[in-house]
Amino acid sequence: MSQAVQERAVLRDLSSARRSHFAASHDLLNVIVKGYFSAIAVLLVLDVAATASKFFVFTSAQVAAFSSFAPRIGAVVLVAALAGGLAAGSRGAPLSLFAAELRLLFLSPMNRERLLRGKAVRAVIRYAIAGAFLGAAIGFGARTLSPAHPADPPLGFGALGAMAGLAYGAGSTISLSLALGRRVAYGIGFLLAAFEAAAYLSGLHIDPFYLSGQTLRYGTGGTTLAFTALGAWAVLGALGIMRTGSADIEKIERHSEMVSRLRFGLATRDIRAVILASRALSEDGYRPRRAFAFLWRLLPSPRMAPVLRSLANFTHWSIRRYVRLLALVLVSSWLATLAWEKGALAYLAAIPLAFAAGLELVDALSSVVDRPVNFVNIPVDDGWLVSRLLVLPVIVGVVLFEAASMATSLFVKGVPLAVVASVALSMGVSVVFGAAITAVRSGAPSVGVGLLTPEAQSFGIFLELVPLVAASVWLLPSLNSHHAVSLGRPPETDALSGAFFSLVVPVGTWAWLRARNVISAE
Amino acid sequence: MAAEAKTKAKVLEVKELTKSFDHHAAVNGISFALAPGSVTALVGPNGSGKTTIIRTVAGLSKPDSGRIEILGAAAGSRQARSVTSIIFDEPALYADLTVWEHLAFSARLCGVEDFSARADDLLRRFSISELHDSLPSGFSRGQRQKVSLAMGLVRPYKLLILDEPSNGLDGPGVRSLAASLTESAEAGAAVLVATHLPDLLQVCGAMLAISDGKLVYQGKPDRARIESPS
Repeated sequence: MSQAVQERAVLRDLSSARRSHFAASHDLLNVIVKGYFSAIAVLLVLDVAATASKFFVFTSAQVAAFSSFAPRIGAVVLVAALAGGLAAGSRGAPLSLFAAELRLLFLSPMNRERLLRGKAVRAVIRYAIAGAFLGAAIGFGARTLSPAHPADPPLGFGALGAMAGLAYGAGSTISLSLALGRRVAYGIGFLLAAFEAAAYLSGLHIDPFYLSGQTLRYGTGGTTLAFTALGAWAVLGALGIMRTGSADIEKIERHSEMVSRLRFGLATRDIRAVILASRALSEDGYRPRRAFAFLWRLLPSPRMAPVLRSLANFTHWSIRRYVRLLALVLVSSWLATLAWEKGALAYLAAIPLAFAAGLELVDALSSVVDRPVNFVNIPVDDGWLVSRLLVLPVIVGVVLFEAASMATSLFVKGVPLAVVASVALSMGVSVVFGAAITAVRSGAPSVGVGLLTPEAQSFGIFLELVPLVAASVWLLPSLNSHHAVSLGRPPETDALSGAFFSLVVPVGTWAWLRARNVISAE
Repeated sequence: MAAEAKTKAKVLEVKELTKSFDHHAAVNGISFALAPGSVTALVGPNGSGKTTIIRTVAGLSKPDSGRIEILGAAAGSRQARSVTSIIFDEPALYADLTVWEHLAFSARLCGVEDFSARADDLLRRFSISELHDSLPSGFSRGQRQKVSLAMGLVRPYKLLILDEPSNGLDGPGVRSLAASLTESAEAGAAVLVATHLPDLLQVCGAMLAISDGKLVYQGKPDRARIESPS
């Protein structure tokens, strides 16, 4: 028996042993119950989306306009996927190599190149399938929203999704195997974007991204073009896989450690752990900036120390984080303004984006909560500390949401300014406090929870939704004013009263922060 | 002929090894060699470069410059890995494999199918026979370290490298470990053990002291150099 055959036999036995223990340690009934509740949740979302779709039905003219521009949109998606893959590969993606398999497999005389290629094959196929599913789901939504149009977009959209997955996989594996540095990878991504922009401006329709993007046109899915383009991207993916054997294990290890943390955060449903891990994955840490040191001298009082702490966090962010926060605030503000005019679907998209912006804003609080010992070492009540750590984030949040809402209202006609201002005020406050509840609750786990009965523990799932509900209270001024319009009243007063009522979130959160130690003790 | 004899006399040869992280030299021009049947201690404060040396010898990190040969083969090559067993300070076990399966696959991946007697002996030596069919999810730090040691010792090797192997071990565990190191050397392997523990120095015949990535002492074991290498 050759060495390669022997190695494969041992690896098969290893996988089989792991599978058998995994199956034995998982309760089938538990899996069925979880599946049942997940199915209910999916159906609920589909039902809400179907109801909301009544507000958004694409006309034939809109579909035709989209079809004429679709190849360019497809090209942008593919360029973004390829550039994103190149950037991710420079940080060690897409392979995951965990400590146990590193010790057992990679320190043994097994063929490391073959092991790495096997992992790359699985990763690229996974991206292609995920892309295909996502694309098909968007295509399915597009078909639902354009009932008058006879075309069948899921196949074309799915094909483009698969191509984007292959482009990401190929970009990351090529970047990893060539050991591209971050600057080089980002530089190539920028060049690709510049190439696509030049092709658009010159009106050229022969670049490979544009040709592949043609599958996005309504009704072109399943054509020879789609399969040819898919085949071409699959070849690029295969090229990336073939080179992966020479990848730097050290880089993959670092990336894998972050992925482990991300998975742990997801498994424990700890939103903040997920955010911290994703920041670490993108090497999005703090940057020393002495230029802001003068701000510290403006707040010399010890009572202002927590405010100073949150200011220090903001001033040490990477440029990427500023851009991300601004993008989240702008898009969520635009969606919130659009929702007032168009309906519920935009609200559904705005809620998580605004919440994510809130989680960015409470960065200083998250840093303190990271280590419970920080509370112990500071000789003040932790509620006092947390409350003061939120002062600056609330101010920044309100200013950003107000500015973004005013800017976006220029592009969405028909929404009264008073309504826009009230929603933005409420958004700035509620997302910060909702995120603060998440941050504080994700700190040291309460020992007492383990003493509760299983029924009481399962009630905890509802408590997990509290931060999101608190962060979504900005819906009140919007819905309240909308209701006023439907009754024939001017919406301004109702928007303001809704915004005023949403102040229950900061008041309630402050009370909870000050009293939560007493509540826990009780 | 003379060159071959020279290679045989050195299981591990490190020459002018340099490795930097973010413009900081973790290891700076280190050279040393290990002979068969020797037990050598690698000492130095935290961050002095011990683990970097071990990772580079394992082929998990690429050196910036310098050369590492294990019985004449480049570090990280299949030939080198087939004769090198490395045990790290932080035990890493599969959550879905029993203790016995960990040992079995550790041996089988090196082409050894007749491992049962050796594996049983190691489980007894480290007092973890009762964990034979257990999954590691409920193990203590010490128990995990013992499984990790047994995995490293059950496979064949000519070079045995251990990074802080006594972390988490109880007194009998440290004594079993020391006995295993001596036995390995008696069987002709070269042993390199990074340690802070004076107990393990007793079984070492030589010592390498590292400070700020540089080799500052090479000679007989000297307890004083654990605290102050230079």
